[in-house]
Amino acid sequence: MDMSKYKDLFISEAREHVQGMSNRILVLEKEPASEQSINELFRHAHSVKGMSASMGYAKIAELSHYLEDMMDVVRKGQVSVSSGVTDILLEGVDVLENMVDAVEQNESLEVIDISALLAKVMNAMEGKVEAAATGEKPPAPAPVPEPQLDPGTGAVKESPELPPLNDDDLTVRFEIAPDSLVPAARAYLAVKKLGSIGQVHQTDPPLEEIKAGNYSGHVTAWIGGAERDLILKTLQSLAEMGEISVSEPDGETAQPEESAGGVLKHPDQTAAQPKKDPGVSASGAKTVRISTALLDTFINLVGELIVTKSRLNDLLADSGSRDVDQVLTRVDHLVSGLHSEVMKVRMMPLETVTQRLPRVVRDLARKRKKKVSLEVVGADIELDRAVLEELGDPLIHLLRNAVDHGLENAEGRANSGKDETGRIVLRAFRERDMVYVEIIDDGKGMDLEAIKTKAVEKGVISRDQAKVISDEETVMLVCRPGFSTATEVTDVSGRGVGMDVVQSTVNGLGGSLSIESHTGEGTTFTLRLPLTVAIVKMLLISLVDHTFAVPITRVARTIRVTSEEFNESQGRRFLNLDEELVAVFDLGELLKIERHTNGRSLFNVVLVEATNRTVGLIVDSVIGQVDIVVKPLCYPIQYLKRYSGMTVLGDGRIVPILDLGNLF
Amino acid sequence: MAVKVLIVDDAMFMRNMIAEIFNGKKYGEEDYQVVAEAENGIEAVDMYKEHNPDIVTMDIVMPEMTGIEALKEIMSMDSGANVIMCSALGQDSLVMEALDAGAKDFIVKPFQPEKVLDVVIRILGETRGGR
Repeated sequence: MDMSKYKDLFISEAREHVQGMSNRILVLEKEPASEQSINELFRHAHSVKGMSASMGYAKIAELSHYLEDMMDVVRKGQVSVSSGVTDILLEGVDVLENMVDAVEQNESLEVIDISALLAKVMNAMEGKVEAAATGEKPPAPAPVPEPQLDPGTGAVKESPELPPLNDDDLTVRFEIAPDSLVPAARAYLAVKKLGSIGQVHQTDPPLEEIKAGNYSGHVTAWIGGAERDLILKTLQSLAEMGEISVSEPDGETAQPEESAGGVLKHPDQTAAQPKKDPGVSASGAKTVRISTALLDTFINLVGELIVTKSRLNDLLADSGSRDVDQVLTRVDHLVSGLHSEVMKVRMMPLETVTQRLPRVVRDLARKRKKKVSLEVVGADIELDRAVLEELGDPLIHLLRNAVDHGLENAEGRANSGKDETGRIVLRAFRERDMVYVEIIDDGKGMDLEAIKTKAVEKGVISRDQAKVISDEETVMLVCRPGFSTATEVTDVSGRGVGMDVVQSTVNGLGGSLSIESHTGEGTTFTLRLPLTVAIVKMLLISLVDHTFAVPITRVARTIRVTSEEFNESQGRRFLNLDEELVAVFDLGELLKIERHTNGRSLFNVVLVEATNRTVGLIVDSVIGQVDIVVKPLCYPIQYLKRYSGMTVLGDGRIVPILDLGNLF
Repeated sequence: MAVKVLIVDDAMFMRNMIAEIFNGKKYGEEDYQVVAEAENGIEAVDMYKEHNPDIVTMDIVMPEMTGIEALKEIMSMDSGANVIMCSALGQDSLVMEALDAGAKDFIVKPFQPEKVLDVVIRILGETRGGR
């Protein structure tokens, strides 16, 4: 059978199980006696074993088999769950994950050596677990319970007192095929079948032995009331049978004419129909798996459709024809409907990203010898898949920060009168069309003086600036490129991650990052993210003959001011708005586009949100709002700091999108 | 006329594979038709009631209700039900428990399509009478 087409399905299902196992083990750590967790773990391991065996991935099957046995031993009470045990389980889950990854990359599993791990699992099953770092002694294993003998329910008699063998009993001797993996079960089935055609008076080995899984290589049964031919035919029809012989009524044993192991001739198998798509069952499955590449194509097409539709609207706005207007309205309606349905498909719960995080925090905390708990609230909130994909690394980095720097060690916490276990809360909630993800720790907060000193050292700000800088701005200094050097970013997952990368990732998604810190009490990182990034509303602005776009989510409002309203101070312009001084910049100056504004008396100013503060942007004109499809910048333009992407308007114009985080 | 098959397994992957085995195959003049799939024991019992299949392939270990529990319920509804248990390695005792509860035969993962069909044919042969 060709297995390759099942590979993708195997990989995604195996991953779900592995993730499930990981989550369950963390629960088990807190509730070592939880029957539900133990059973779920068993089931997951069992499923992975079955799937991987079917696919021919023997190593994955072997490891999951060991883990399954381990859980079996645990649920029988022979081994209890200690931290040593959960460590081994987690290690096993990690290796399983690596192997599934290898399968996906078409890499050989040969190089992955699991023998040491298997040995650990074996030892753990025998109660020999290494004491964990916390100095826990492994609990003594419970005594192995006596195997219970099941009372039989089949037609086969199992009472120890057997009626005497009749003289006309036939002696049946059979073997199970040597390549059978479950000979005891096959033998049991064979004996049951015999019991359905006659009376089985005795078996050797006794039935209880066979039921206990002991198959010694052959089985002898004494059966009465059945004809020899029927016995032969019955046993031969069973799967995985080896040699079969039935004695003659007069005691002589004779071999059947056909060699055993054959199967009843069956009707011709003809391949009648063309292959059906294995994705959909005949009963009409309620769900269908679809490749993400296909989904992205849908999104792209819908996006282009929306943009083209608005162009159509523009062109036909003055048609004066009622029919045209009606059709346009209908097209509008249909495209909007299509858009919202397609967007639903893109939405996935935050949980897909946050489900890994408790494990990450646990491992980090162990390494730093701190006790940390992570609570995730609101993970059922749905976000665009593209946003979620980018969110993983920044969240992990922020958690790492909290564990490494934010939370004090046990001594520090005791001194501050805090609970021994540091608390991190990841809270997600939605407000209108934005999603807020907060990471709140109850640690010591950020050291403002140390940040200022370091920033001056690294040349991020000048000494003078350090004197006047506000607390809110100080805290954001950690996001400046150049603030932390590569050597200080510990345990990096391979890609460069620092606070600056976190911020630019969030900005790139059309969101923003803000930090709030209270000395001695803790720090809160807030990520503000748009619900969707594929098709977004932009504000189009123009400067001379250039058009630029700014995400609507970052625009507070647009105003027109006279030149007299500007205040000047130290070479910078300010506006007094609602009793607040807002810094104002000229977009032409920022982008180095020359123009003259000296004679101007009226100015268009767009108020935008850039890193924690509102800033005014002087432009030539505000064109209006438009729905666009964001396209990424490619090499080498992506390195231009001031632009976060670009789009193509309905009329074919290419419009760069301003990166407000890096503009000022 | 078709031979109706109900496939029960909690992994979609496995259900697809088993469905493939029956795809396009015939029992004599009749096609095999997968009339329903179920992913746990409770659904299995519901699907059995709804479709009254000729053959059921039943995974042993499943959430909500295990294969053996579902088997018992089905057997109590229909004492002539043809249920084939699907097991992974190392489950001799569960298989035997299922056989005691009324399962007609069993197949072991990794499946070999011919072996699966052999088992099905044997069982159908017994219940449908001499084909």
